[in-house]
Amino acid sequence: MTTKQKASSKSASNSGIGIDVKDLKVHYDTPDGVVKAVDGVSFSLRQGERMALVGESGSGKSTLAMALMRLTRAPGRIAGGQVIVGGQDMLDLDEEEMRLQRLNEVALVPQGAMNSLNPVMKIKNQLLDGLYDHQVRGDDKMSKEDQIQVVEKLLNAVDLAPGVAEMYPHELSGGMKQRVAIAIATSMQPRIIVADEPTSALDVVVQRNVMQTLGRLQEGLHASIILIGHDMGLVAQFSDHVGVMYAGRLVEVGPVKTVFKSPKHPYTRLLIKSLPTLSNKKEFVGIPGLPATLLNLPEGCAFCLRIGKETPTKIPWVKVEKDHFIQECKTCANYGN
Amino acid sequence: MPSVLEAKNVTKVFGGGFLSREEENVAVNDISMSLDQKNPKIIAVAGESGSGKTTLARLLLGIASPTSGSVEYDGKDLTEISRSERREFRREVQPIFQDPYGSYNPFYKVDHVLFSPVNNFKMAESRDEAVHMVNQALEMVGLVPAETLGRLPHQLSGGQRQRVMVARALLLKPRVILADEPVSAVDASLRATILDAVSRLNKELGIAVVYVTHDLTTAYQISDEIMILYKGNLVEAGDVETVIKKPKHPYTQLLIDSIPEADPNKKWGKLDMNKTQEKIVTAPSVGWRK
Ligand SMILES: Nc1ncnc2c1ncn2[C@@H]1O[C@H](COP(=O)(O)OP(=O)(O)OP(=O)(O)O)[C@@H](O)[C@H]1O
Ligand SMILES: Nc1ncnc2c1ncn2[C@@H]1O[C@H](COP(=O)(O)OP(=O)(O)OP(=O)(O)O)[C@@H](O)[C@H]1O
Ligand SMILES: [Mg+2]
Ligand SMILES: [Mg+2]
Repeated sequence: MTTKQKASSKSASNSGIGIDVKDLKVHYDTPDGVVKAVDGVSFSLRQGERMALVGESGSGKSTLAMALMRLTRAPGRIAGGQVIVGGQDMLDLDEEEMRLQRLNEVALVPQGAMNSLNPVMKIKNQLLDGLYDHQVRGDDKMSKEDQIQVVEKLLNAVDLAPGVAEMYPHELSGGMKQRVAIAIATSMQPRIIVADEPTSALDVVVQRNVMQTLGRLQEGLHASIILIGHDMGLVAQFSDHVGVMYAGRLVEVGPVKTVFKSPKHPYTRLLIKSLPTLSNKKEFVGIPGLPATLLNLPEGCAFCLRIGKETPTKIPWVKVEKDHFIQECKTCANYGN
Repeated sequence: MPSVLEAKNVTKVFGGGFLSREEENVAVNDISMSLDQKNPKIIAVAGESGSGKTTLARLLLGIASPTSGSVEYDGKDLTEISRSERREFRREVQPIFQDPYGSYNPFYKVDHVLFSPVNNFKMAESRDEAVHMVNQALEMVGLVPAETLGRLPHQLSGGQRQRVMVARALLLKPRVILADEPVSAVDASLRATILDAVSRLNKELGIAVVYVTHDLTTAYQISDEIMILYKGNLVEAGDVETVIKKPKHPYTQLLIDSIPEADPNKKWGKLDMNKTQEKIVTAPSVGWRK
């Protein structure tokens, strides 16, 4: 299939929903017990939308990202749920089918991507490798001229000069390497882009540049993007929707504007409150208690455990207003208010 | 004015040696700074990627030697101190590095990076005391000892690995902590917890801190002074309140302007990047100069 055909077949099957994740569970089997790093996560995203998944370190964000790509490795395993893209539950595919889906339908810019480029391979070959790897079977290799053109186009899309093609990773700055990683991930014009902390190792000026590039690219492809991170500033500026993760579970989902204006879950509230700003120097307010323990986590409210309370029953989802939902636990709902 | 650690006009040039065809790269250009003994401060070193922050930190740590200028520890040139002084220096000046994964041996449990310094520097009288110290340090950075010890590095999340390194630095009760991006991989709420711990170490135990970061927001929150680097040059330095609230150098202005604010109603970035870049090249440096 040529790129053009693919693009049109994609829009033909475009039902409006880009990705639909249902009750996804990812567990790590450890000698001490099961770590439920993703514990029944559900969300859906329309085509072309931007969603951010935020949560503290260890809350399961990268585990979720890997599972969306079906790249979970032992001792991790996908313990249940569905990941529906283009009407297809990706968890039902066999390995070979899934290999084709990656980059083609769902692409990942992994955490620390810029450090995982192959140090002894020219950038152009790393870009082409991704393409060949995912080319539909039977396709002939491209001619030299085509290769040069494709590489130049890919680099151009992430604001890199054609000369970068001939360089090795060590000759590039962090921001440039991250652009290359983004170019590799998006080379097959995916429907969904999962970006795991794409700019957390970059300074703000470069971050702004890279995020603008990523945003422009995503809009051009009309792809949905799932931005993973913990920088609430970046979330506020970049995405339309936000999902807040706590202890492997989503606790609040909603439009960015609403959630920032009136966060409803106590964890979200504290997260926003704990942000340092440049406008005033204040006492650092960390979130009280220790971060959640994912090992053998009971079914009830995980945030209650953090603040020395206990609500053992399963917490229901409640609709606050249009598109805005929270896990409402009666015990801690007003905590920190 | 006795300094624990002082850089005197340090310059570090990479490449471009005799007969080399590589181009010279001045990573750090004629920078001076000192960490006062009597009045230990938190000094932030900020600037874009490649501006020389890590190189400056490595010079201060004696891991890299300056091309010109010198680094002095208790008034003695680092290149001239004795072996026993060097050993003391290694305990008293504790680094926390940028890439936490690089500091681990992937085949050793994380316990190794915590217990070996305690043993090497004979910090504890007994095994029990060592365990107690390690547990305390882990809790200070928000980690649950039972869930952290006994694991291999890859079994912890990035942020968890980073916090273990902070705990390691705390264990040795140093006089100086040189932290290179200690919280870049950590989420906001934990950032607060860790930086608060660092800040308390400074206030309560009198540990001087060099905080290398590209995050001006946290630099503003915990530091007393700030140094802004741009392409190896110190472009603006001074009291943090003044530099952040009334930035004079166009590069400092661009940095501040590029911070994404946690408010969806505020616009991200008002300055024109290209125009500002032009100004940066010609602007003179501002602030403390020796
Ligand atoms: N291979 C593994 N074996 C056991 N537990 C693991 C493994 N990998 C991750 N975990 C655990 O799963 C949880 C989620 O980890 P994950 O890397 O998904 O977090 P994260 O939200 O991406 O954190 P960060 O912001 O630090 O990157 C953590 O508690 C971690 O300790
Ligand atoms: N060992 C080395 N050999 C050659 N050049 C080096 C070496 N270390 C650093 N450099 C160069 O020195 C300059 C400053 O790098 P440095 O790592 O100090 O920047 P930084 O401010 O810490 O950046 P970042 O925010 O990305 O960590 C860069 O141009 C870098 O390429
Ligand atoms: Mg992660
Ligand atoms: Mg650095």
